[in-house]
Amino acid sequence: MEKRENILNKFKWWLYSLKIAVFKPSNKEKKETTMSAKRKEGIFLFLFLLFPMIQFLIFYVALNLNSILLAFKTYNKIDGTFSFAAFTNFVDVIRDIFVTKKLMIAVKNSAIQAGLSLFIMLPINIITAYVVFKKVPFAGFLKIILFMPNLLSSMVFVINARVLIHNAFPIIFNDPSMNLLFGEKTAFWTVLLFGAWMSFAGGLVIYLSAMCSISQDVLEYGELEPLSSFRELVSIIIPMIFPTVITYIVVGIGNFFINQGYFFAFFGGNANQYTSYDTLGYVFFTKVAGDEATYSQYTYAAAGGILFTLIVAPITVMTKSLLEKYGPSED
Amino acid sequence: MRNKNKIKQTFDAFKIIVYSLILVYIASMLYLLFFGALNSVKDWKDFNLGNILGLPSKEFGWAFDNYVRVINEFYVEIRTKTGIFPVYIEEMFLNAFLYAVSMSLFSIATQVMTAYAVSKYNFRGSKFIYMVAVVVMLIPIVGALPSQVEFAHFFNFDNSLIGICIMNCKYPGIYFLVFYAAFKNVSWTYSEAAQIDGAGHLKIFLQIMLPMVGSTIAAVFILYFIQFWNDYQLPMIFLPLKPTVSYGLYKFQNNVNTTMSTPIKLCAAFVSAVPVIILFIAFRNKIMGNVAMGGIKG
Repeated sequence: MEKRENILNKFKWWLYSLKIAVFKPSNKEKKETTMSAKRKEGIFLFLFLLFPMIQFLIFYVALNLNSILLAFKTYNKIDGTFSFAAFTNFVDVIRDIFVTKKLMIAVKNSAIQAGLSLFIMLPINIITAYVVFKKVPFAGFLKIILFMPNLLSSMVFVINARVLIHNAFPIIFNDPSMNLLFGEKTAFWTVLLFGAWMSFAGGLVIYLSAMCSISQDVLEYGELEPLSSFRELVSIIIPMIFPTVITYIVVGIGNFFINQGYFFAFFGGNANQYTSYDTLGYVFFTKVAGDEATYSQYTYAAAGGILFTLIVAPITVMTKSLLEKYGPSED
Repeated sequence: MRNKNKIKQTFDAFKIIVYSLILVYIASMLYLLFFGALNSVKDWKDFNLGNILGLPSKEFGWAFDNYVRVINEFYVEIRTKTGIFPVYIEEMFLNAFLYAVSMSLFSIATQVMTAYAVSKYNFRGSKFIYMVAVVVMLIPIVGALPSQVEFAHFFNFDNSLIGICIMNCKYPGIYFLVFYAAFKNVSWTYSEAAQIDGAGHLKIFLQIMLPMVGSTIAAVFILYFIQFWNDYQLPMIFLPLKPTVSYGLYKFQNNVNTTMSTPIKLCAAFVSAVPVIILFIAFRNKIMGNVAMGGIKG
């Protein structure tokens, strides 16, 4: 009986071995399976990235290449066509800065705006975030109110501020002739200060998050020393969040040529007019989006854009690397 | 007690000065909004007679009905080939909603897809795609708007919501880095387990990976929604026949010919802010928490 079972078991094992021998995947098939998995992954990635890459190639790469081409063209108003104009648009922009000085006010105002933003508002932003971070009384409430300029449309603030400045200020300051918003000398400074007021707590959430990521041990070391708040901010907090600060400085430099401030929101704009409150960002935006904007201004705006990019791109990269090299470090 | 001591210990002159400045700033902001809100409920005659700083006068009373009148009086005129038509507040709200939702979805879709592929798959070009995103963010391209307008004409995207979404949903941006960091933090083990069970790449992405970063996606969606709801410049340039509520506010704030009174303008401004305020109150903690994560990674 036992012998019979043994024979049966042996037979079963033989059948099993035969099945393995017949159906075992060969090396070639194994390779094919791996290849097919790789191919499936490749097809998936190709289809997955197809739209984002085509979108980027057309609406970023080609669009910016077209911007370069546009800068070398001129628009013929009669037949509505573009023709090659060599460096005419670039010459026009440079002439409007240095000879006719139409853009000189914009350059000066942009410099003031960038200086205010980089040297005054950026430190205020960091200090404000630091005080909220230190859990002062009502920190949660402060955080919400300080976030308001990011939450509500700039138009909500602009409409309210316009009524306050234009209608209420002459009563408050008892000066019926007060015309801060539309006065030739005061319009720029009024809207500039409004912009500074709006950006009082700029970058609050990002700075707060960077501060929250600082190790508790480092902060406790500061408390044990003990360091004053100002010393703690300068010696511990700023070096620890410096990568975030660099980002804001770099963005701030780039904004020199594109920051419109709140001038368009307050005044709208005309493509053919130059005003006392012009900034470069505002002028070039109104050339495309302002009243009476036509294709003839597009080529001028494109040339200005390329000229400014050529200036700002190396400055941005250089500033970033200099700050990374010589700025305060976590050590 | 311990907390009290801690606050006392750290509340020095520097912090007192800055804290006081912040309180002054907050008071000025609340005053501005209070000033606007108060004037929004005044009769236009009351306002025009010079009652700007005080409460509504007894003669004219509180004009809460301004908030009802705004529905009929706040409109934007659009010029089409067949004539001039008014677009009223409800249509502007609908346009703004469609614009904000579509732009947010398109932007998130391209960024999530690219971030997922680059962070989870090691293929030729993945590092390049990541580097391009960083470089595009670092080096500002000035003055691409004329070319953008030309492209919109070329592709017949003028006044096409989907067209404008396609044109503006490029993957490089701060939120690409946020999603990249979020996917990097999700373990690939889940995917391997699913692969053993026979799940394909798309199924893994949709049913495993996407829910894992769901809170980040939700937070970014809300932030995008607020940003696009408040945006008036893109709709002004590319969607002039479909005015959003922010564009409507811009248009009549700069339109000297409008017959609309200042209190009604202020009403319209506050009404336009209601959706984002509700959204913010409902998802405040979600936004703050998840943006914080993005900020560090970005």
